[in-house]
Amino acid sequence: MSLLGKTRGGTERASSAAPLPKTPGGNLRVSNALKDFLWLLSDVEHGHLLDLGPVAQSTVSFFTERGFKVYTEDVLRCWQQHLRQEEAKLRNAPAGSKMDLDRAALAENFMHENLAHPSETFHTVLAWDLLDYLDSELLPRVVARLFEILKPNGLVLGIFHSRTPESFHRYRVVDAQHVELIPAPTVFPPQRSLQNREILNLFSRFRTSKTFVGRDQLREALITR
Amino acid sequence: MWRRPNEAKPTSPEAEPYVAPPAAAPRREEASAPHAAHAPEATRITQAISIHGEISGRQDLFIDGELQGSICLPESRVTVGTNGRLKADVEAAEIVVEGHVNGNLTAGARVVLRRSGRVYGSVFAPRIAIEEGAVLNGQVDMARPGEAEAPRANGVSAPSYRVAAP
Repeated sequence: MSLLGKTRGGTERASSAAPLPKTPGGNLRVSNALKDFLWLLSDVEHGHLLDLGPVAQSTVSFFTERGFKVYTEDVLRCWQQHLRQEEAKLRNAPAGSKMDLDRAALAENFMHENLAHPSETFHTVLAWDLLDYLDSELLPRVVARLFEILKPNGLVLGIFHSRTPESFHRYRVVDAQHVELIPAPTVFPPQRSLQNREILNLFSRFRTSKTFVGRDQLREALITR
Repeated sequence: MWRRPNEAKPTSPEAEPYVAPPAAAPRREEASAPHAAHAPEATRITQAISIHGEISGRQDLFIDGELQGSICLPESRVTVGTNGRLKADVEAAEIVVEGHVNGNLTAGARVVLRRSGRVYGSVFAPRIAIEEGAVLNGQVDMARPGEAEAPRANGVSAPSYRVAAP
């Protein structure tokens, strides 16, 4: 695939004035990044997609109908479980035994067991706003792993909060233009609000990035490996 | 202008109800109900039972206990109850998960993940229903038989999800 080789005419862009689909109690937003994301992936056949958020029926259906194999790995929940397991080990450890519970070691252990896919497996990764919630030790490791498991020219779709979010949301693709934000119980408090420069630094090994600023304090980013 | 009372109702492919594949046709439609697996003819493994080994056969199965091994019931429905804890690969016509499964699910007809369902493994089925709140860490493959992706040229097979401890 040659994602970077694509140029687009004005008529190819889907109209943002399309009517909002009806969803029960949903918080729909028009996603310009999703439109570009889908356009860039339109040539990919039998693509492999990794969704790093909680599994959502509509997202799975949306991409499987387009020929993708979908993988889901709820990294934030896995990290939460990992911390709980390590805490339980510590509680049950015999007195006097040494256990390495510093954040760097925890993050390193986590990466041994998670996002463990062969290199260059995926055409694209849906990261949503995961990176705003990851531990500072875990964040660079996850981004480095994304670089490894993405194919060349593979895409990451990320969402970054301009301000600290007031509540936790899950994301799901509703259609080719809309993403729904679903309020959900907080798994972890937000760790940061990355500025554009920090995002660029974080993805410094990647080739390009494109940011879409919304009026709802969300910045969508398309990052190309 | 008005349709005559005895006029046959027009039908269209879109208007016709979905007809399940032959293998799944005799299945009860109450599969979509949360606790449908408690049908009398289903073999039940209750909460107090723990099994290590392989289960195969033709009867529907409801598991609310623990199982480590594998399940191969290609003509039947397997339901993992809310208390069910499986460390097993499951192959069945239809799989409904309300509990925890650590392993791969392969269904001829469909897989249903209820909101309490937790699956750490891959799901292979032509139809998959996922309720809000369900957890799935692994691959979702809805390719029909024969549509499977060809092996990669470098000899690396499609990535198999490494089952993580729940």
